[in-house]
Amino acid sequence: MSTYLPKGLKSGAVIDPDELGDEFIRASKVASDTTQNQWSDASFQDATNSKINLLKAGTGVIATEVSQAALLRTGGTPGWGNDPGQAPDLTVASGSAELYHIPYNSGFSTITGTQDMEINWTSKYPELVLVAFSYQGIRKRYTDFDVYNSGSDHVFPQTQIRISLNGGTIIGTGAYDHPHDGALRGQGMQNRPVRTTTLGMTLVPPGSHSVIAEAAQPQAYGTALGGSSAGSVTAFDNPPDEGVCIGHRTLILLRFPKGKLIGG
Amino acid sequence: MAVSKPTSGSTITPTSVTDMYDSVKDVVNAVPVSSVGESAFGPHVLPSCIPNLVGTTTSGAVNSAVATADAVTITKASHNVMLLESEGDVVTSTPWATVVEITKSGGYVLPPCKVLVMFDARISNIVKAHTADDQIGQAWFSVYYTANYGASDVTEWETRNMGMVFTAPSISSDSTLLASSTIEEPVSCWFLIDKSALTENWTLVNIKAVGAVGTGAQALSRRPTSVTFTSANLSFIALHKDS
Repeated sequence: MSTYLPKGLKSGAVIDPDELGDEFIRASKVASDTTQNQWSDASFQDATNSKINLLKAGTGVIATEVSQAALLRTGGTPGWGNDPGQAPDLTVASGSAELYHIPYNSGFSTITGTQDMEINWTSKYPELVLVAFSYQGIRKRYTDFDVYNSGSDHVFPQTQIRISLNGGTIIGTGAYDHPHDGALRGQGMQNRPVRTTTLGMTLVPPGSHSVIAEAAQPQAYGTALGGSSAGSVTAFDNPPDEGVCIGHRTLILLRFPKGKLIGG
Repeated sequence: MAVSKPTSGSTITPTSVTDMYDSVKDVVNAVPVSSVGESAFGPHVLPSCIPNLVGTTTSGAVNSAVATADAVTITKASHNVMLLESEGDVVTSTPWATVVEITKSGGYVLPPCKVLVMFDARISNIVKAHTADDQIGQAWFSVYYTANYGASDVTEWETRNMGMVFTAPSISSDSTLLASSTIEEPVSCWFLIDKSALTENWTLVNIKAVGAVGTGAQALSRRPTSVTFTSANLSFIALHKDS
């Protein structure tokens, strides 16, 4: 916080116009560089209701979102599976064009579609940000993915999600984890359907920023290899690079600017 | 703003001192309160992030919850053979059962603003008694709201705010009984309502989270019989429109 400490004029001294003027210039700078935090607490509150801001019915909170609908629809085949829940059409050819098929074993990538899950902004001031990603995850049955030349149909894809801020993960967003002791399980969600929201809060400095919802599939495991549920699958007849999807999705960003200099 | 000070070597006069005082006074008196209100953020400004309901001192933030003891079980009567999500399925032709709702007489009158809606719940079980095949049961939900912009109420429904989870059958060894219908699946849907472009106050009449039993194309006798939502929570927070 800037402070104004006038030196004053000494008795008997010669008054220099420059020195005298500096006293006023410093006073002007203090006033010009004041933020709201230098005002007395509750200065702008109504005396009878602290929720009323006497300054203006405005706020520094900026709310932004991007979203994309992606229908879970039937493939239209009669018989069992003729509905979006039982056997959703998760093919590139005839499923919803807005389904995002998570690339297999290729690391995290932006969840794209007609509306990508990405928000960019530039701020002049430090900000506290809250980011939430609400989404529908869905994948084909494990029997729809075949291990190469094994005759077995037990492949278990895992879905990983994170919210990336300026290239780094916002701590606490997920779900994803790194493999421990070489185990393949537990790196992501194995659920066939999931409808959830992951969120995180962090501080950002002034500048240009990007927040992105990303998805990945780590290496899948299968039971075809020696009967171990943790067995690594290295080759597929039907790889899980199609049919492990993100459906409806919304990325929400709330920005809380920390202050602004005010000038006269 | 520059301070008008006397030049070095000049004679200081009462006027030159007064000019400097006036320069500083102009700076202080010209602090724009609007820029503080619009862009500042501090403990004393934070409450104003949430606008009051128009004509009241009540903050535009409301929550409605369903505790476990009041779990909502949706039966087959409201089931739907859903081949595609649509507003007609959810809102119009075949009403679903309400899981949790935020509503009050006259609605919530708000200024132009953005509203963050948060629905979080737990789906405890999908009951399916018949196990003659491996059909599965589905639990669907949809979150939507009704608004009034000065005329009649308008239902605002969006596909993106739907969700679905299902259970694979867990058949006991004799293949005639389900070992369990419990799934205990948490679900969530958050989204923003953007009414910042409005020029007049508007009314948020209600927000609803509705659910249904999804059956697929199974024979009627084999369809799941109920879905139970527990611990559902529906909230909204109005945020003043962006500066």
